[in-house]
Amino acid sequence: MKDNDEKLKELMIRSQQGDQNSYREFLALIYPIIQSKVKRKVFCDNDVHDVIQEVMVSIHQSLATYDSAYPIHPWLHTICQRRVIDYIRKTSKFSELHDGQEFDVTNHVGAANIESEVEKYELLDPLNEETKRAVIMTKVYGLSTAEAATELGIKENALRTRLSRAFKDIEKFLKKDI
Amino acid sequence: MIMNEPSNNENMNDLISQLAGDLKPVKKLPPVKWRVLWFGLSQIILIPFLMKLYSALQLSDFHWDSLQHDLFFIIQVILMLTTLVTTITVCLLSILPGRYKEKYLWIPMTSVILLMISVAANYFSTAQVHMEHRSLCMAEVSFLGLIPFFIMLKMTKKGFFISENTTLLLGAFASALFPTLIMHFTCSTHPTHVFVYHFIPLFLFAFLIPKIYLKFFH
Repeated sequence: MKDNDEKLKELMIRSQQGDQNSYREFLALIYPIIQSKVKRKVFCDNDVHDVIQEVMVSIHQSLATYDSAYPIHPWLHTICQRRVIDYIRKTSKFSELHDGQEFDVTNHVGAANIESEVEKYELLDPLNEETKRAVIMTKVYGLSTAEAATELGIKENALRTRLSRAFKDIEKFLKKDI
Repeated sequence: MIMNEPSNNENMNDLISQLAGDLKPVKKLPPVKWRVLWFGLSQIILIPFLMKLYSALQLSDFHWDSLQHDLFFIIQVILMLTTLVTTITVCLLSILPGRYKEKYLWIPMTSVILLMISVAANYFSTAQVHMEHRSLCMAEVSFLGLIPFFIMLKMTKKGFFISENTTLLLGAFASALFPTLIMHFTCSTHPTHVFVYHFIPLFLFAFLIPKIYLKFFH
């Protein structure tokens, strides 16, 4: 980890001086790091790639903000976290807008499936079991709030409140590291 | 998803090549302490220059004598300077990924709270030496407020917004405080006059203009 940090630092210093090959190598090295960070926090597989791209572009635009006197991983981590938070905000706003519409649900939501999904995302750690289920049903399986509420045996308004609290808790959890 | 992996990797290789191709040498942001110093010096140099241009406000209008016999005034000046330095420092840290921590906010917040307490205490005190307020003080403070606002905007624009609202709030605070400090020396009929009529309008302007720009045009 320390060697990796030193290597990334060296490549970054050369990149800041305009060395395109070092920069290419730097981006290729950080890609798997960013990918693993994003995959642990973004529910929808289709969106993972978009979020990674946004992180890479943000890194490119923020090259001037890196100071080589400090370690590079916290710098990368913060940019990554910020873009993930933006993504979560955007998707939660989008789903609020589309709550009234019917979804074409093709995924089968079974208890075993939900359990396996819950284990996949460390992002859900701060949530209780019921809230985790609500988030997985609506965000991973794409159920409407009405459908998820029926599955959970609660009122739709209660589910919306639960989801809203869940996103706030997730945002706090993400911000804790920043 | 398995089908998508190769195409995702190809896209990523394209993106990496494109970003590397666009790379030009970048000028690293100077250390925060130098940038704070630069902000302070630019105010000290530019604001007297502006005052010279705007003939209504002169250096002779400064009530330096208040520093000798008004304890509240001295405390407020010290707290304003402390708040100014701490808000600029944390504001500039808040645009540096990996350097900013939310707990840093307590430093300027403590300073702001103490400043507000001193203003409130001054409001109820009869010891205040009241000065005549200047007839065009609102126009003067608006004129003086433009320089710190644009300098702050330019300094924060170069960074990465980790927490947009925090950066904008601190930046607005910092850019509104220096002209308020000048008005504190030149215009004061009431302990709260300077804060209500000078600080708050400048602060709202410096916070809302970039906020509206980022929300609707960015």
